[in-house]
Parts: sequence; C-alpha cells; structure tokens
Amino acid sequence: MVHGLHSSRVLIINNGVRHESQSWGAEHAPEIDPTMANSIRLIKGAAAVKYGPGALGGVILVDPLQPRLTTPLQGSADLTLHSNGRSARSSLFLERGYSGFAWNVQASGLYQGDLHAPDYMLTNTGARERSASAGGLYHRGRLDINLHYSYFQQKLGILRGSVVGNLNDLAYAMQHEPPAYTGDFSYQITTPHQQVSHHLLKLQAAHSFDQSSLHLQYAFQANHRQEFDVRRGTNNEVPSINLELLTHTLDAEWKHPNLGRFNGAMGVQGQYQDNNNIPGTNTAPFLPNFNSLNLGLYLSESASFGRSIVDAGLRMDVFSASVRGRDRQNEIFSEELTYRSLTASLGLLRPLNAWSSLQTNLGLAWRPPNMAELYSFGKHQTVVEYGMRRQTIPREGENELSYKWVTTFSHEHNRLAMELTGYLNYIQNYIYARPAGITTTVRGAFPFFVYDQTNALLSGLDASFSFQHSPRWVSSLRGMLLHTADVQSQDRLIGIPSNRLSYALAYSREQLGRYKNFSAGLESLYVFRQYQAPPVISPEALLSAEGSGNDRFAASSSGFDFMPAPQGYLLLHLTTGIERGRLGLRLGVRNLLNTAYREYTNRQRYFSDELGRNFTATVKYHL
Amino acid sequence: MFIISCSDDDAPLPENEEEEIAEVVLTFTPVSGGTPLSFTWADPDGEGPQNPTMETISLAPNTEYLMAIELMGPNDEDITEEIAEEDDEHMFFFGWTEGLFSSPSGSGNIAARSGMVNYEDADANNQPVGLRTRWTTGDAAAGTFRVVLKHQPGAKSATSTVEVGESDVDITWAIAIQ
Repeated sequence: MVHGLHSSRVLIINNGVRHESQSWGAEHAPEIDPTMANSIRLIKGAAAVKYGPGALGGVILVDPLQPRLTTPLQGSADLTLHSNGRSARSSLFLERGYSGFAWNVQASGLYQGDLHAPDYMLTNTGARERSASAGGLYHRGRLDINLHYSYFQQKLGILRGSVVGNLNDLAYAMQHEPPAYTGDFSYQITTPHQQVSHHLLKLQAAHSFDQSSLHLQYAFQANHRQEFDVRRGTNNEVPSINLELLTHTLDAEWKHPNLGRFNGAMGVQGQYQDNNNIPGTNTAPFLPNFNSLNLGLYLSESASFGRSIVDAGLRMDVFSASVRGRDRQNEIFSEELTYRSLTASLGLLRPLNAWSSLQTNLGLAWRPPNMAELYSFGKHQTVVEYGMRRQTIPREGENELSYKWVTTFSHEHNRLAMELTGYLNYIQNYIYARPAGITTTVRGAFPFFVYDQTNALLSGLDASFSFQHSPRWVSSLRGMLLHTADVQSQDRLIGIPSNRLSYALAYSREQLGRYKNFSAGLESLYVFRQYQAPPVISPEALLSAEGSGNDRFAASSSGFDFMPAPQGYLLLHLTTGIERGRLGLRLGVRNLLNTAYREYTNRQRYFSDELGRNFTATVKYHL
Repeated sequence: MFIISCSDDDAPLPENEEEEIAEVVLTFTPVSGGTPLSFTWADPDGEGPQNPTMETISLAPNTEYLMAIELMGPNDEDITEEIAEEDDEHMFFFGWTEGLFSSPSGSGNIAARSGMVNYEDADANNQPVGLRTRWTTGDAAAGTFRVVLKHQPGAKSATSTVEVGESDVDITWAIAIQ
C-alpha cells in the first residue's frame, strides 16, 4: 500500500526487475519470498521514471543480498515458529566472495496449517511455500557481471466458508459466525486454493568508464497461476484458472559524465509478454491469451543550484498487445490494442537549515488498463464481473493518468526526528468495479460488477515522529490520513484504506551481561473505521428489491457495499530479542489482546474475523 | 512445470463447460397413468447478462405425480448423473405456496428443514436426495414453487438446512393447479 494505492497501481521491482505476474487480483500477493528481501525501499522523485508505466502509487524496490567480493564463507540459518497456524518457516543463506568472483545461495520453506481468529478456526487457510535462489558476481577491472536465478512456489488455502453460490448464500454467510465448514485445526489444504510458481532469471552487466557507466540487463520471468474452486466431481481437482505468463525484459542505461551541474542517466527498456491459458479448465477462460510489447525511452537528470537539488525525469512508452480470447459460446474474439503515454517528474530538494529540509515533487504517471479490467468475464471468487471491452455496450478502456504532487518536510534535531508528507493525486480515468445489477443464474440471483472509469482525487498525509527519551528508550508515533473523492460523480470509492495511528515504545541495550543487542518493544496500532465507505445495500435488500421488480441500479451509477465498514480496532504487539555469540533469539506476540476485528480492505471481512493472538519465536544462527 | 507456447497467435482452446447448469427440466408423471408433463428452465448464456427463460408449471387438481429433475449443461451434458454419483454431497430442497399440495402438506423444507417433502430416493447414508419426489395436488390454486440444490460436501445430514453449503440451483417457478 503506497499513498492509498496498491496492486496494479504500485510497481514492485524485485532484484532490479519489474515483477510481472497476474497482479489484477487484489488478493493475489506478489510471488516474492519475504525471507529473501534484505531491503525494501520506496522510490521517490525522478529516479522512478526508469522503471516504466504503472507507478501511480509509487515504486517499491525489493532487494535481496547481493554477492559480495572478498567475503569469507559465511551464512545463516533460521527457524521461525508461529502459534497461529502452527507454522514453521526456515531459511538458509550461504555466501562466499573472492577478489574477482562471489556467489550466494538461499533456500527457504514454510509449512502452515489453519489460522485462527480469536473465537474460531479459519478452516482451509493453510499455506506452503518453497523458494530457492542463487547469485553470482564476476568482477574484472571495470566490468561487473551479475547472474541471478530465483524460484518461488506457493500453495495458499482460501477460507472454506467464503464460498458462496448466490445472494442468499452471501446473506447467510455474512450473518453467521463461525463461518460455514469451520472445523478442527488441520494442515490440509482443500478447495478453494491457489497455487503459483514464479521463476526469475537475470543477467546483468555493468561497465564503468572514466566518468560514465553503461548498464545492460536481461531478465526472464515465468509465472504460473492456478486457482482451484469448489466444483463438482473430478472438476474439484481441476483448476478453473490456469494461466502462464512469460516475460522477457531488456534494459540498457547509460549514466552520462557530469555536464556542468547536471548528472543523470538515459535508457531504453523493452518488455515482451506472452500470456496463455493452459487448456483443460473445463470452463470458459476468465482472461484471454495475449502477447504484448512495451517499449520505453527515458532520461533522468539532477542538478545542484546552491544548496538545492533539482531533479527531473521524462519517459515515453508505447504498449501494444494482441489479444485472443473465447467467449461463452466458445467463439474466438481477437483485438489489437495500443496505448502510449508520457511519464514525467520534476522535483526540488531544499535544505531549510542544518536540520530540516523540504522536498517537493510533481509527477505524471500512467498505466494501461490491465487485462482483467478489459476482458474479465464471469465469476472470480465471490463476484461476477465484466471487463470494459466485454460489456453489452463495450467501453474502449482509456489509460489511467495520475497527476501527483508530493511534499515532504524532514526534520532531525537533538532527540527528535520527524517526517511529514502531504500528497495530492488526481487520477484521471481511475478504473474500478462498480455494481451494475443482478443477474439471474441457475444458482439464483447474483450481483454483477462492471469495470468503469471515473476521475478520482486522493489527498493524504503521512506523518512520523521519533523521540529519543534516553540512550535506551525511544518512542515513535506514526499516522496516516487519506481522503478520496470521486470528483466526477461525487460518489465514494470502495476499498480505500482507512486512517491509522500507531505508537511504539522500544528499549535497547548493546550489552546485557554476557548477552548483546537486547531489545524489547511494545507497539500499538489503532485503525479507524472507514468513514468514507459507500452506502450499504444488504443482500436481503437486493433480493427483496429484485423480487418486487425494483431495479436498485437504474436510479444512479452510485456504488454500494454489501456490509457496513467494520469498526475501528486497536492491536497491541510485543517483541523482544537477544543475541549471544552466533546465536540470536526473538520472541513476540502479535495481537496480544486477542482482539476480534475485521479489516476494511480485506474482502474476507464479509465472512470472518482477522487473526487472533499469535506467539512467534525465531532462532537465528550465524554460520 | 510450464509449457512454452507453441505459436504467438493462439486463441485459448475451446473448453467444455461441464459444470455450468444451463437447463433444468421438471417432469411430472401422473401415478395413475397419463402423459408426463415437462417444464423447462433454460439460461444458455450462464453468467452472462441475459435472463433465463422458464415455463409455468401447470398441473391438474387432486392428482398424484412422481416428479423427476433433470439437469443439463450448455452442450447437453448430463449433470443429473453427476449429482446421482455424488448424492451424499447433494440435496434438493423445495418450498411452495401453502395449499398447492394436499401431500406433502405445509410449505416445504426451505423455511424449516422439518417441513415435509416426499422424497423417493436416498443416498448411501439414507439421507434424501430429491432427484425423484412424490406430490399430490390440491384444489385449483396458483403460487410459486422453489427448487434449491445444495452442494454440502461433508456437511449433509438429517438436520442440514438449506443454509448449509453452496447453492448449485435456486429457481423459483410460477405454478398453477387448474
């Protein structure tokens, strides 16, 4: 979640490569092993233009540890246990570096059973993960060559009680706790579940010259996603979505010599994708097959004027796709699409005094509609939806364009550090799914959603303060405020994150007797109720309106939700850690008060509470 | 693990939509002999936005019928057979305007599971299925007749209600006894 946006509107750069997957599903987590991420950073300013279209919210860089030269053989092994889900996660990391060559390898796995809410089990929410990676660095003179391969595989159970056949089922599921099919704890994962695998291969070369450097990178990604629904008979073993997405990316960048006060880089990026339905799902494909090509050219520069730094970036992209799908009648349809637009950024960083600075940035970003927004047709999870080009009166599907202004004030003086960020993001042609009617199927009445576009304005404030009470005690306070408006129809948008406030108190000591790096902390998080949620029309109201022939959708295009936004909630987390020699130990409790709560942005909130208290323990051994 | 696509202008291969129920036929056969009466509900576009079509059920007064339910896929696959094979996970529930039938009396087992329905079939656990049922009409009347097929894997029992499991079929027919 970056500045109120997520999924298709945030670019994830995994180890220098645009992560390409079926990111159209809000519940599809990125296929990246969390244990592998050594650093996660948010890119601000003009540097973001090198990563391409899609960064309406921002760019997140996820970087694993890189191979390091002249490093003795070393590594670490760790094991993490969670009481909630009775899970074990383990990972192993090894590295070795010589003067001209270095390598590292990593492997990890997760085995998790059913999670539980404070008052009941969440049946069929187990998970399995396996991942492995290997990296090599060759260094000679001014040349560096990097080769990296990683594999990630995940099987993820979906709450059994969240499967609904029609509006009656939905009404029942929403009113009853515990959810249907709630059973005893089990490690078993049955339908519904998702299975994904992701391969990433990257070859990168960098050559430095006297005052400039050249970077070349090729990456190949293979993403395979299968979704298994509750179906009759042998179809229960057959995925109803089975998609394979292959992505080739080629990057070339030249960091040019400083020209007077200017330094910067220019580059080209090409990306070719091939998306295919793997036959045998026994159901009409939810998404079509497509091949797409994106070509981008960019320039980013920064210059110092006195104590101020100005940075600017400009990028031009052309995206074209050839799409072939099949409709319900098994007829082939095919379309050729072309989208193009500019990405631009202009920023100023200005120190105000020795301890404060102001950074302000104007940005233009865009993304073409994704394939689900254009072509989805039918039921996915609990909703029936139709993409923009598959509706009775098809819509073209325009680029989403974001005009964003971000300003950050940073201050660090004595024992106080603070950062205040305000932003305004006007998104033209904002794509969202709007409830558009009730369709009668053999399963009974079902609400359906159509993808539509509007103009939205997001305005927000992120604030963080940290105060060092003493060398050992530090407090930090963070807050996030977000206001969104559909400026075209004055409606409220659904699924926008609500405001939140957190406070943490931490204690740390470098030495504690024979132990070192002792730390302990208490964190409290309060999430406010989403006061901007759209009006509620319950399934019962929809059913009775339908029964009386009263079309609730005819009057306006206004959005609604089936359930009111959940109440605000308070969570407390405790964590403590200590090290001795090569051994490190961390203990923690998440949701200490065992608060029963539901999170507005999680679609599961119609069916069940979020996770209850979770005790965690991690042992890490440095080899 | 993954298949490299053979050619770049491939459309997805046609899929055999086995699962979607596109047609439901209720056949009432008079026990004392006579022509069976069939009433069809059809929705060829499935989850598409077109509404289904259905025939009004029309039965003679004070007559005993055996009713059979047939379910068909969009390409005439026989789904009835699949339900029969998995009868321990499936159950039909019925609900109707009180007074339409002299037997069973009441208004069916949707409002309350204890409501009477004359099932003529049972699964291996001796629980009703509902592909075959018995009905005796009352005097001339009109109303609605609702048929719900629930999928209740591992949850079907003597007391499992219409609220358990997923709805595979939920159709409300108009009915006239005349």
